[in-house]
Amino acid sequence: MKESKKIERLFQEKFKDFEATPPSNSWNAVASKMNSTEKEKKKLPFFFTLSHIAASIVLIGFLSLNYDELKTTINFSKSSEINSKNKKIVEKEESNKIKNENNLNTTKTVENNSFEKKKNGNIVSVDNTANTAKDRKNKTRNYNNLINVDAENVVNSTINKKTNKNSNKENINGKISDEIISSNSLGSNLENQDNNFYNQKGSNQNSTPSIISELVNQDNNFYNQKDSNQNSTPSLISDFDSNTSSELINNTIDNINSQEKLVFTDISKYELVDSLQITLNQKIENPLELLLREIERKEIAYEKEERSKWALGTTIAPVYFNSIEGGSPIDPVFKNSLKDFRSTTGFGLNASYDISKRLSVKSGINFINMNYLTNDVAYQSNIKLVNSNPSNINRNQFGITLAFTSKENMLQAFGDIDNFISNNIGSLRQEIGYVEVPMELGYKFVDKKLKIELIGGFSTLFLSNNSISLIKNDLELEIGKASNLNKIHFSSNVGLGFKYSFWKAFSANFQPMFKYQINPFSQNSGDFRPYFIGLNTGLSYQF
Amino acid sequence: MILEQIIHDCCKRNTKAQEQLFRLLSPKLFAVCLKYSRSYEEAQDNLQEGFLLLFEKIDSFKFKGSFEGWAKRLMINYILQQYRNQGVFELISEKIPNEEEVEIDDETIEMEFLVKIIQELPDRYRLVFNLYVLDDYSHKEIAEMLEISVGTSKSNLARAKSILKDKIEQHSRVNLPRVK
Repeated sequence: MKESKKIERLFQEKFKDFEATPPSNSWNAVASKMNSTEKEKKKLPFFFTLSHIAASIVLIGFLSLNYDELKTTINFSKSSEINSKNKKIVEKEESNKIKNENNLNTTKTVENNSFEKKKNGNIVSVDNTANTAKDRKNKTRNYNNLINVDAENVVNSTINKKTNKNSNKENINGKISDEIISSNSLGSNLENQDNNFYNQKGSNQNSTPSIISELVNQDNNFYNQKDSNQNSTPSLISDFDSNTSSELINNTIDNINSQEKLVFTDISKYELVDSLQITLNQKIENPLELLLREIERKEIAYEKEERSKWALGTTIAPVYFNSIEGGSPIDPVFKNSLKDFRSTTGFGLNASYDISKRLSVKSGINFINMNYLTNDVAYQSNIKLVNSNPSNINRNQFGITLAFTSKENMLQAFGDIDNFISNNIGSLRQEIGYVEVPMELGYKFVDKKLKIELIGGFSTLFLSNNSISLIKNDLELEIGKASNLNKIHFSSNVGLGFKYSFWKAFSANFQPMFKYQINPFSQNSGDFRPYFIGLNTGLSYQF
Repeated sequence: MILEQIIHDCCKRNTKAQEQLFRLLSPKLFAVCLKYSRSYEEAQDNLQEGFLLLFEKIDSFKFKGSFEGWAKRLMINYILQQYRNQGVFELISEKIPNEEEVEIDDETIEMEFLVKIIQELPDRYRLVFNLYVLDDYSHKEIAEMLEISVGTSKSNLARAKSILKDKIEQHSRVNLPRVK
């Protein structure tokens, strides 16, 4: 004891007036910490951001694909307002003119279409705003002019041609405007508009938005041209004549040539070619036309196939659970302890609905169980109750007398005591089960027999299983439940979908999905940022 | 009193007063941090965080007793709290070492060496040794502060002294030819 006291005294004497100057920058560090009252902005998890980017890309892609249609709709609705007012007048006019119609007129109408298309064929986007109210007024006047001119029997064929064309357009526009008024959503507008257009024209169903756009451009140009000529019919005629007379004549005389021009000018107009042919009682079977018809038939058949928009399927998936950062949701003391993540198997049902040719909405229900081991856990069984430890376990009757900490902490607290604690080292196994309901968007970027799509979205996860067990060698003892797991949380999902149609409506699916869990823990997650990767494999049936 | 005025100003969150107080107290409190921490770097962190806590809690100083003592206790408690969160439990099978009597020539011992061997002690032993030997806490107080039993506190202290003694002896043997 004498010498031992000596040690105590040695330290007491030496440390009696012990002072140490801290590094010179210490005060600055304290001052800056005091100033930074604003808490650090929570960083957006990387993959959370990524999935949003993916979703945005899908959305932007969808919008840009449909942008022309969108513009067309607006234009149609604008122009149809005025046009519908004049509809009656034009219809009356038309009824008179129909009597006078002859093959030549029809031919000229078609030729005129051809001319307009040629003029505008390469102009994909025309400034629709140019079609102002003023223009519409001009148009109205133009119609009146035309009617007046007609009444005076000045150049009947030209007026017939014009009126006939106008009335056709009016019918289309009128119909479309009705549809637009009756429908609420933009998407359905576009669809309805398409259908109407197809019905009206009796065209194949596979026309693309650009065709509609072109037609609108054609309309605009036609009207604009009329605007410039509104004051006098002769000038209108002369304008046509001066600009297009050679083509018009050539086309009228040489029908085959005109057909070819029509075809090359705008492939969407082969129904006009048909009518032209019928009108002129042409019996020449153009090989090119045969080819076009065949394509048309195929496209219709394809459209019929595409009608199946719903698909149901089952999936089974190996699920790989892990954490972006270390940490431990059980207790901060296990932050640096080794984690052993186990792969499990999930299964579920899924449904998808094709909202367009490339875009689909996916949902379903999946059952997933995840578990991982926290290794190097030092534990001790006591005869008395142990204070809450670890902090995030609601301990059961077995867990209540056990104390846990990490091997690392025990070594730091007591030094080299490996012999003792090796007998008291085990693992904690946390099991977490979820019922997952995903809501995802898929964008098909390869659409052949093997379809590949980019998938992004989120999942709602409902906690279904929660337990924590102590494992030592092969023995396992459940010690309680985690107290910090949210009953409902969300995940941000990104992934790829591979779909291979192998028989009729059946297809095999493979979807590697990355899911970042956004808020799985209510508190004290100990920097544990879990995610899981599911390799969803299954069959689906389209109906 | 100047210190009293500084404390009052610190209560009003006066930055200049806070800096003055820091300059005044930091040598004493950094010494505490060095003794209780595992390393110089950890001592620095503890000093900064401890001062932040001190400025936050300075309103609770009632001008009874020495301010320096109050600040020191606050700093010690802050550091203990860091270790308390580790959930370390007592080791039942720990053997209390026999205390051997060894002569120590304290003239040959340097301050840096003593700080170093204290820092190298396992956490629990370091805390108990500091609290009991250097800061005059009783075993009962230590047992409460560390949520351990009095017996464990005594056992930990004995273990700490034993380790320190070994290291000092080893150090003395190595340095003997050079010293004398």
